[in-house]
Amino acid sequence: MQELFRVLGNKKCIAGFFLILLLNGWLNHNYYSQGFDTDVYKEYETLIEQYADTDYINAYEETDVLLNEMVMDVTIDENGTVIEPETSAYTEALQMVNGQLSYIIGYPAYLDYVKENAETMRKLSAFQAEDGFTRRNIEKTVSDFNKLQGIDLQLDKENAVSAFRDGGFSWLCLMLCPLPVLLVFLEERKKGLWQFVYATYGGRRRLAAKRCGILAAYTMVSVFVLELQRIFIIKKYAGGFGDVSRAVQSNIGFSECALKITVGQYIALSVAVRMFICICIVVFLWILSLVIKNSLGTFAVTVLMLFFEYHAYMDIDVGSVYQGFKYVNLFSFLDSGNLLAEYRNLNIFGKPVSVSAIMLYGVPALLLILCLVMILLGRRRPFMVSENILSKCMGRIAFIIKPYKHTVLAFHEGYKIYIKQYSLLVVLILAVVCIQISKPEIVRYDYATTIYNSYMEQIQGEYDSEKVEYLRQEEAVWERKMADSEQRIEEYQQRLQLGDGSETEIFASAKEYEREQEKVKQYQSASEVVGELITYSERLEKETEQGYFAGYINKIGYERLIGTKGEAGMEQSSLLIMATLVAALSAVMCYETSQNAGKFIRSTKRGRNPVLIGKSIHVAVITITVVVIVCIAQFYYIYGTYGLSGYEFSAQSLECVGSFPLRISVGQMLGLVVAGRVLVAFICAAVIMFISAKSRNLLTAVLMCAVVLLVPAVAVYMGMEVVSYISFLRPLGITHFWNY
Amino acid sequence: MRKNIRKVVLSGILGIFCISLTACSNNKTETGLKEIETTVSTGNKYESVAESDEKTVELPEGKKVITDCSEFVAPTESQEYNFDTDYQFYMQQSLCGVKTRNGYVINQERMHLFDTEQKTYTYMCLRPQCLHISTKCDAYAPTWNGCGYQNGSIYTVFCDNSNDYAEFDIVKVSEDDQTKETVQTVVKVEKESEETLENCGMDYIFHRGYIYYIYSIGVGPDESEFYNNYSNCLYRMPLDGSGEPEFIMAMDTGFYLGLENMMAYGSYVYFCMCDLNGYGEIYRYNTESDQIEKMDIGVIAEETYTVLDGCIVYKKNYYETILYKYNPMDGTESVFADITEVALGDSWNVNRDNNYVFVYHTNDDTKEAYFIYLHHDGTYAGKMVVNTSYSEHIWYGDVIGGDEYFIYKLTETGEIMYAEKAQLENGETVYLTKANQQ
Repeated sequence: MQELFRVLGNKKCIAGFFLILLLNGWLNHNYYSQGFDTDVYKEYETLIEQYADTDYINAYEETDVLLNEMVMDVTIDENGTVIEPETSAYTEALQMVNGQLSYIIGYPAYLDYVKENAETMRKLSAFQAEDGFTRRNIEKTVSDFNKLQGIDLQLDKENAVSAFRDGGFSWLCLMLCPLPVLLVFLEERKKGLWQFVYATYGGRRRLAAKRCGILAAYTMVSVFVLELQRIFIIKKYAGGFGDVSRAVQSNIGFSECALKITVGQYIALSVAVRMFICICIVVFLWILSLVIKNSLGTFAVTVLMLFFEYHAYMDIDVGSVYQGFKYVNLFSFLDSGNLLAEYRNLNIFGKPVSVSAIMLYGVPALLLILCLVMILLGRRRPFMVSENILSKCMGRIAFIIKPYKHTVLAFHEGYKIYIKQYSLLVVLILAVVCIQISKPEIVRYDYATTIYNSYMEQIQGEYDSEKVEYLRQEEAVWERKMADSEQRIEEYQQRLQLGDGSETEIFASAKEYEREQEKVKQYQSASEVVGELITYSERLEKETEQGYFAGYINKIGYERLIGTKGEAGMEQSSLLIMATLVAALSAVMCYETSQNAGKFIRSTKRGRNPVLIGKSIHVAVITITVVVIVCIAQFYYIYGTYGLSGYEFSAQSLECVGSFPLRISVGQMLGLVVAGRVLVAFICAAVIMFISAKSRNLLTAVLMCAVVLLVPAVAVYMGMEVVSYISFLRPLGITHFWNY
Repeated sequence: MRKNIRKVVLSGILGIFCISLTACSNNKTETGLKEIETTVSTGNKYESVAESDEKTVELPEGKKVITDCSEFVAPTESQEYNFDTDYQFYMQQSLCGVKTRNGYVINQERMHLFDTEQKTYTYMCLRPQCLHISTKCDAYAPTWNGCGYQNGSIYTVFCDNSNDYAEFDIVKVSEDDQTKETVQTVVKVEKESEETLENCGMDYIFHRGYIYYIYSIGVGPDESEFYNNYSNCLYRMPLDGSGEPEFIMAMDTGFYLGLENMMAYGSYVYFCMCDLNGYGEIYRYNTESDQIEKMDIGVIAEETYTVLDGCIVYKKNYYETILYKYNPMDGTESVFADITEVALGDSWNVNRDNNYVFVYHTNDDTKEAYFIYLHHDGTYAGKMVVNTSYSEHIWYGDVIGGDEYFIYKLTETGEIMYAEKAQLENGETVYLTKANQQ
């Protein structure tokens, strides 16, 4: 208990908790405040109160009549256009209630449908094998849904339940909430204490058990508070949850939920699963930090694991052969609200097991196993006794720069950063990754793009009025071709209407007719491309008059490099830069602190300033190298795949940056983008150095840097627009400033 | 000495780094497909794109085309039909019909299974609680023009047009538990225009571990753009995802995708170089000799040919009532059957199964759609009528075929009709029965 209060009383722990609580509130407020209309909700609430205690069949008929009357108010104007009355808040609310009533009345029929459907499937000769998964799945489904026979569904407010089911981005804060206590534990790891703790009663195992308990208790309380906060926010925007003792199947969208539970139980189960999975995450992280005695390794494994889990959850289709990875997944369990509402059985060694059962039984079981592992591993000495293979390999490379390390302080710092902290290895890995991702692809274009490319081959280069004339002539040719085809269409149409000739001749005419129609579309598309090029020419003409060196530049590659189509690629590359910087620089400042050498350095004749200068030089070199490698890879991929040209023309010639404020060339602008990215990367590096300087432990530094820089960046990349204000992801991309 | 060693090692590392950088060179020429200029000289400084007849791409050299039948290479591999690996000649797979061990599968956005014992068809979704309306339904399969069966799995092609590109992917569906797996992307085209997929299509068959396909994406009928993005060419690609597309041949300009009536038997893949009116010459790709053999039978109606024991049975015109038989190995042509007396109304396509050759007919006067079926030696065997009580639909029916069963799909309603092949044996007129949907 003393240990619990000591850890929970830690100011970092308390500050971390309130910071996450604040973040959770902000994210949920932004997420749930959209999509709910207060006027509609008020009408909806009134209607629910009106029909809740009535006979549902009568209520349904009544609402149906009311809705039909509204449909009858439709008027038709003189042109024959149907004008529907404006959907009022009342109509919308009435439609919602009518839909709910229809669902509740139809639910017993749905249960019968499941039975009948299963009966039909059983009769199919193809699936009569008793030992097949399909057959067992059918039997299990019937058995599970049979339990729901006779449940009493009630009409009540369901917006809040649906909103709760859709967890939004709450998972982010849930994943972060156990981190403060984990960081406190990591900071408390000090060399020399191991023997001391080992000598105490119960030794390290007792301490590990206590730590496990503290992690679990803190996480449970945090998740509970965060979820409570979410529930209050949902209640504010989506209304109340209604009678929580009603069956969860009373809500539309829960028809496939085969658990016989109430709304209250559903919410409690969902929160409980989230609690357990969050504890699993933090215990797993602790185990990783014990097993992998290298902060960089722990970071890499965590990032890779999260990357794999997220993509498995998002990209695997429901019917995929790999659906097990989608459902038995960290993110899937964090989305427990949805998983509980869905019914799907997975094939586990030929036996159907429902995903909700896997979650409800599997997560606590996993937690138990992880806790046991954590306690058992707790006995192990957490610090390196001998050098690992990685250190040995790096040591072999080190002899190249080793002779300089003691002569100049800056080289000595370089040795520590590049070799001892593996920054050189990280940059080399980045280079290999970049070589792989920069390989050009063969692209195939649609018709409009091919025509565009053909014209650009003709006209690319300096602006010239002859080129405009040429384009106008081309536009006329396309229009003439279009007119010819339209004339032929009329002829075919006449032939078809007359119906003269044999079946084959009529068939042929119909085909010719279709073909000419396609041709018209094709010519129209080409004509539009030429039209756009003429508009582009007019713009270039104006720019030439203003003194710019304007020229025709093919937009395809530039749109994918610095235009809107390249935004996703720019965000990916920014994410890569950030992850590399975190991996390469997190240990830079805390390296001495973790070795208990900080005070010793300060006490030297020249203090720590020369060391800081030396570190800063190498951090700058690493930052520039990382940004340049990523930018070259990105440029090389676009250049090889789509082609880039016209670097000498003014930046304003590019369609995607037409209103660029500086009078520079395209080449200079590309250089400016790289310089801008380097500048933002310097800021990121400075943040990393600051966090590193404040950390006492290498793993703490890596985790803190990841939380401050990577987590918001990943959140923005996943679509959490609101987080973009606190993330460096888009500023690091630079192009976002003119694309949006 | 020590300094020299350092220099050598350092130089070595730098050398390796430079080599690895050069390794990421442009691989655009790997397939030999190269963009070429598309212009024609108009006497001006700039050349007209609109009036150019040149092709937008330079196509690689295809397989050798042989026209002299004496040079045709006889196959050495077994020409016997193998259910697990071969194209199902008795099913019209272009209409998404395929036979599996569980029954006949017919796909109409959602896969249906025709159960041969119950004589019913049902959604191929084995989750009793599913209402079959969402995309999460196991039966949901946005298939593009067909499916095939290979070694216990149904293969088909899905089209993804949701992003900045149009993409065709080969998808494998397990016949047992209906799980799906994307095997490989066939083609991916960057699209600027949302209209690109309006004139987009792909025809394909699966045979002996390969997909044979022709696609056309955003390509109009104008000749200069006919091969844009390498459309309108015949390719093949292994189904195990192990290889790149193999270029077989470019279709002639004027070829109309959808009417090539591709089919495969033994070591051959047959197709018609058809024009927009549905007429063209027949070619076959010999998978053993890796050559293309052109059949010396002139221009015929594409839907009216089938292959029987290595010979081509065909009609020269749609409306013709005489069927010919051509032996490609000796170049001889003979009359296979004359059905003039029994074929009333308009005569249409020809299909075949293990025992019979079917010729589809429609009769305007009697409002009747029927099949004349012939023995494999060409003698008349009987008549099979699509139930006349469904006359309002018969003009919109799709033939799907089958071996033990004959399946016929009404396009408008998606309803299935069937006849047991055993009924055909006594020579009496057989009426197709409507199958119940479960």
